[in-house]
Amino acid sequence: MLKIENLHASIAGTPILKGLDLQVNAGEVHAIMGPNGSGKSTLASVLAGRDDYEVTSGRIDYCGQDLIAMLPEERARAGLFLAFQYPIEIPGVNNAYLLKAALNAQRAARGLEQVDAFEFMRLIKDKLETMQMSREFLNRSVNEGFSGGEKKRNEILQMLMLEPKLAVLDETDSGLDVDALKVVAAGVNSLRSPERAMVLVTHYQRLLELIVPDHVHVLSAGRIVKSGDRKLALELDEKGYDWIQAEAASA
Amino acid sequence: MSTASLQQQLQSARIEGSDVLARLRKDALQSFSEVGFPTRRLEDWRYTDLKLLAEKELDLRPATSDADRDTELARMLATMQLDSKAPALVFVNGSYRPTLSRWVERADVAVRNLAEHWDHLDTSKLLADAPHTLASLNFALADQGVHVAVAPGVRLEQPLHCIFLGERAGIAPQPRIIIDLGRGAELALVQHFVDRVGGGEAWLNIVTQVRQAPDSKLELYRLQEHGADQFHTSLLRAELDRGACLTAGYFDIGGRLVRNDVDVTLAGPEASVDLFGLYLASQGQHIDDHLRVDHAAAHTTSRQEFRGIIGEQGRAVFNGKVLVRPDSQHIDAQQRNDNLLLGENAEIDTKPELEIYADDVKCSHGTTVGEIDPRQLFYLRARGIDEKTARGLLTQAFAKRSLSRIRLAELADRVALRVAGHLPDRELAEALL
Repeated sequence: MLKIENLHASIAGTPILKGLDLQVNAGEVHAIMGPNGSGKSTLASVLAGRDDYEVTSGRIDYCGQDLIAMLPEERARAGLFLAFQYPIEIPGVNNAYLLKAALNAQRAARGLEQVDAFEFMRLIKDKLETMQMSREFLNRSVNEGFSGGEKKRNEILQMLMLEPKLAVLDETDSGLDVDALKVVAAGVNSLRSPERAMVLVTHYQRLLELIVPDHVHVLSAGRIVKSGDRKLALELDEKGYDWIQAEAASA
Repeated sequence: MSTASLQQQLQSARIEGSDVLARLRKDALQSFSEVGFPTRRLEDWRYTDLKLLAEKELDLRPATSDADRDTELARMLATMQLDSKAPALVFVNGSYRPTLSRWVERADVAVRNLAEHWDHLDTSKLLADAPHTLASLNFALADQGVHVAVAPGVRLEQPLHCIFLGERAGIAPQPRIIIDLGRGAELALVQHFVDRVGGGEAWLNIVTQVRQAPDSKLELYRLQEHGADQFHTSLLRAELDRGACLTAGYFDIGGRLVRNDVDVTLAGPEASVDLFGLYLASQGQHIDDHLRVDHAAAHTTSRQEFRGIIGEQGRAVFNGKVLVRPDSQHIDAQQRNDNLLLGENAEIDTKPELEIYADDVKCSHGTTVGEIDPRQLFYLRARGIDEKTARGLLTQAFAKRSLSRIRLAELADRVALRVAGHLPDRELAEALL
């Protein structure tokens, strides 16, 4: 589904990703871990198409398409979803309106019929329940005045509605208490399927106890320096990142 | 207008009215003749150049349209009016046209045609136009307009619409609306400016004079949707007695050169004024709002909250002045002006002016000038919304704060549509509403 080869990316002329390789197949959940500044969030942003990041070399194949050449909205319509680390507040834009517009934009791209307000409400009802959000959230401006946890839950709510092929979750666990983390994880787990892939970018192992990954990768200084299964995450939790960075440096 | 042509037009003006009024109007004529159109040398006109207007040859006292065109005009109005049921006073080319209006006479609300009523007006109660020179010109020439007087304690249930339809080029009507609210009276009034000139220029110079007795409430809205060649200048001059409350919403969408002056005196304690508005300027449009609130009494409140969306080649000016006099303690005055610049060569000149001579005063002011937030834009795009739609959505979101202040649904809908129409892709934007 996703194949990243020798990816180099920089922001404002500073190289962040320096030759990253990653392959994600349908049905798999990959966790990208690594210390602060290793390039985890850059990877998520580059995948979603944020234009302040410049891809200087390498290629990204997404479902047979050249992802780098696609606009952010084209990526979204092709089923790529980024759950933002810091969801943006948009005063004056209604949360339900955004969700409905997003859903219909993606449906239009897939040649599906538009969803009307009634159908939309029917679709979202269970998902609000899963995310333990009241309907009142729909009538508020996008993320405006939401607490940190509410913002993260709202991201996952959007993901549940949009049913992406590839979900990239950028530190969705940061700033969440244990209960909120459980809600978010339940939401994410409900979407796991053989047709769908997920990339979880995280600093901590605790999310991975709730969303068990198939593969764990360690990102350091812009490259994946070690890959393994979920035991690698436990090892990192126990020993920190220093040993891996040392190992990478000596290699 | 060349000086000679202007002088000739002014001199030939037949000054009507009682002796007192005639003298006042001659004085106004004299004072305008002496100074002429304001120039950019004046601080209040630094950013707005009327040279383009002053050079035009325009008829300052256009004749009233023929009565046999009423059917045609009525049809035109039907397509443009905001509300087909609310009482409406119709002005065609600046002249009040009772036959086209919808007004049922009643004892407690008087609507008088100034053309017939100037003689009976109590001139001692007129508010001075000075220092607004264009208002002096209006006063000298204003045989057109209406006087609306609401008796004490009376509340007009429906909003009163004043529709100004311009349908001739080359004219410069000078209408005047005089509003008197008795003690505790309540009125909502909408001034709606439209035209079907179809090429060619015209200028409308309107003065609205408001006197509010204690505890009266006036809710005034202005929707200005002139065509792209039209000039528009206005003055709202209001004086509020104890406990009176004025809310005024300004929505300027059309016109080539627009200048609105608002001059409010809070003359009695507990009087309050709330001024808000939205201006959209692009493609060579120039929109200038000059607000002045004089806190002449203690315990008075004022709010100014204007937003602007300035597109490519658009220019806007905002100047909000608050004056707090030495004996006016316990004042609350707040002012905000936020601007969204959407295109190349979009310009805003914004300036708050606070003149405060009392010490127990709560004053705040804030100004922002910004573009569409790239983080918000990316967030929407990352959800599959294309860039153009996302920009439109964010522009509407910016306007929403001003729109949400409108209490009349028909007006709010129309303004929302006009905001949408101002966006690059009108059809798309309308579909979003």
